[in-house]
Amino acid sequence: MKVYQILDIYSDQNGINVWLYNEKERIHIKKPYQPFFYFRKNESVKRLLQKKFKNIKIVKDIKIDLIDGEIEVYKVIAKNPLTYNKIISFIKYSDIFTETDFYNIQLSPETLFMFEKKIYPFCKLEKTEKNGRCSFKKIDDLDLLDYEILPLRIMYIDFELEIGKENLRFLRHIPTLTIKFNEDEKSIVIDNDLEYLQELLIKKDPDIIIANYGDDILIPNLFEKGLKFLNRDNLPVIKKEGKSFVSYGQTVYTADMSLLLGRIHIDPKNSFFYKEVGLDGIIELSRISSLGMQAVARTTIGTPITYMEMRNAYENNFLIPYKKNQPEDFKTLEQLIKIDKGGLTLKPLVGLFENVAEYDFFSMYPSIITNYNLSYETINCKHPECEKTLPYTNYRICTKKIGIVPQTLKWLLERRLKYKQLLKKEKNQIYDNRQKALKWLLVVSFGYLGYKNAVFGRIESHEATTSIGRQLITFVKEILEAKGFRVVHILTDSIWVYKHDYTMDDYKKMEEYLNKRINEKFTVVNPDGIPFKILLEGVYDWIVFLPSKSDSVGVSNRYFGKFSNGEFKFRGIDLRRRDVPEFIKNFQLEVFEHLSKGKNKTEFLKLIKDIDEIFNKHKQKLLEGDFSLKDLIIKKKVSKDPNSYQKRTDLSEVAGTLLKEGFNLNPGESVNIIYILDKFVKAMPLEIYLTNPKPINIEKYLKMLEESKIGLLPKKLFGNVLR
Amino acid sequence: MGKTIPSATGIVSLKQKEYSEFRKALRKEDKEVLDKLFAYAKFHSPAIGCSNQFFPMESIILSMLIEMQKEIDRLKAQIEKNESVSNT
Repeated sequence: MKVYQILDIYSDQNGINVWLYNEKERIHIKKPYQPFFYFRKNESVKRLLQKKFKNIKIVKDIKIDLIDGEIEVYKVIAKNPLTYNKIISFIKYSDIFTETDFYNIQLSPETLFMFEKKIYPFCKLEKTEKNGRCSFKKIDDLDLLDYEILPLRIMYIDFELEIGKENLRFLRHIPTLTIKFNEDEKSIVIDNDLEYLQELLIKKDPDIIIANYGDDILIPNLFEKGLKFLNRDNLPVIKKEGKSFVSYGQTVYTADMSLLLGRIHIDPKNSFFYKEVGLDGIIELSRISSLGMQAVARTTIGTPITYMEMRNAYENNFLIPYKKNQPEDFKTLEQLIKIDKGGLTLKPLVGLFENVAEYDFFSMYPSIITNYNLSYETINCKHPECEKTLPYTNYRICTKKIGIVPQTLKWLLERRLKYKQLLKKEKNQIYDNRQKALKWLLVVSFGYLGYKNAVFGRIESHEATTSIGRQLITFVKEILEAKGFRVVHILTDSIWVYKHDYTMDDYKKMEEYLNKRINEKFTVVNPDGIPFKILLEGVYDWIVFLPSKSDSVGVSNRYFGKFSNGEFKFRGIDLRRRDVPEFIKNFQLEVFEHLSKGKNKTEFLKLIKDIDEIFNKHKQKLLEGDFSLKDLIIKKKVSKDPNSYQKRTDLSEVAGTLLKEGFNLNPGESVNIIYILDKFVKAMPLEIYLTNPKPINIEKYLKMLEESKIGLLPKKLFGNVLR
Repeated sequence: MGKTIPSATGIVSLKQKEYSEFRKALRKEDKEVLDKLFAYAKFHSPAIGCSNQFFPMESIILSMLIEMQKEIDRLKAQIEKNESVSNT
């Protein structure tokens, strides 16, 4: 009996390819597969598809539509993935079909295969042989928290640069590579020796390649130069072009992707999840979403959620709508003004406070979605017997069945809680990475309800979530104020309060009381929901809420404070910003190190007097040239096509210089800026500066240092402010 | 949030912009007072957003009044304190 784990699954023209691994071997299984999809019963569509495609079979079926219930459909079974992909693109790109009539066509053959067989990446399989035929049986459970990952062979490719922050894209050469197999082994240096690299690749046969700039530079270059067996079966590397898009008002650029077959390639520079939660987190997400590891590493956070929801729908026998036929409900202007809102914020009282407690709701929005059964199909459902309405929005809510979104989120919430409980018992980096990965999914899960392209999104459930959230935090505020607390700040699911002479124990007791009152008051729709939980994040020895730069009004989420356990919390200050150079961060860090000795308001005020001394020290360093170039780099994102800048700014100058040097920039890409003294330009990209240095504009950097000091201690802070 | 309706802070900024011609016709010292009044309103913008009014200017003026009343109360308390000190 042999046990394997799934490393990679992909489809080719004829079927599905599965790569399995264990301590001893890697095996490649090819399986013929006939993918399928559905469409609403429609004879002319049936005739058209039959006429155009020979390798398909169309049969009648009855399936459940999320909104309409049981409906008659046609199931289209393609002979192989090649035919399947051809039909799908025909449907998607021709305008003769009504897209809302089609179901499940967003599933790739391999995803469908995984959904159907109830397997996923890193699922454990047992191999049995009978009469010369071998078969595999799943011996894994998705609910497992302490699942085993058999040892993987990992190859790290990296390179040293003089200054750690350059963007390799703007350099003209590929530097010397440093190769390492599994973290603890010694590294091997390879300088332009492809043959040796080839030898290593074949001999060590890694399962995972982790390469900085692998996606758009290293892997494509190595492949073009003739490196073989990057893919385990020596097929060409799959290249997908990068793209720019706007998300929450920010232009984001995802670089080109280089995907391997039978091997996993991860580019840390192009992977949000790798940076945040490492391989452990990516494996966790890959398992729970049935998305391949390479896809998880490169995807935006919402995709794993969507895949989990789709799998849930599939397993519950529901059809997965391709495009929803569910426009936003009609609303009067009065209704719209009432409900089209986000979370509640109360602007902070500006200034210095002591003994302030911060209470945060545990996953507030996911809890609301789960407890109130908020989903695409449950709001204003078609069951006449569902009469219960939601508070504030008055939308009717389904009480007959639990929606796809709440089902998925409940599972996620409980899973994360279990990991956190395990972590309380013992420290475990793997569990911590896994729970952090789940946290990210929970964070975006709510946004996905309101996103029009999300499969199970619906604006009404989004509105209901925020409105219940506002009621929850208002309820907490009312209780605390009635008990004599002063509310300093509210931000959606967090509240900062203080009460004279209150101790940590008193605040802790108040947490218990709040939880009891909240769960008494908010009677939920879903009996299997998860109780609401508000937690004492901590009590601050001192905390400073900063005002806006233009007036003295407090700004949400701009503060710094020190908890009684010595930990700091910073939001919105230079230390947290990516467009602030290192030397300013060093200055602020030193200030906070100094302030850490302060245990209350009085001590803080005494210590803060030394800020000028620290400031002068850093100013002197700048004036005397006691800094390294990397301390001066300012990272900024290009928000649009570099050719379309009309005003002359540091960013447009840098983008222009790079363009002139032959580097094409995509909107959303970052550039490294150095301020210089020059007749024609005020800023230069670091990568060009390295080969063509100019005098540094110290004045400019001094001004930034000055502003950073004022940012921490604005004149208005202790004077005439709104209190 | 469909962002069909501007955010609470957005409403106050929008109104402040609408009154820019009014502001232009004021003396310099009065302009500063007007800016301060709008800062008062910004402080209460979440409440203005929660008031669900077609015409938010009423809530904006109420917010300004709240802060002015707070200022009066604070000054009154200060005077009383000073008087009690001088009486003793």
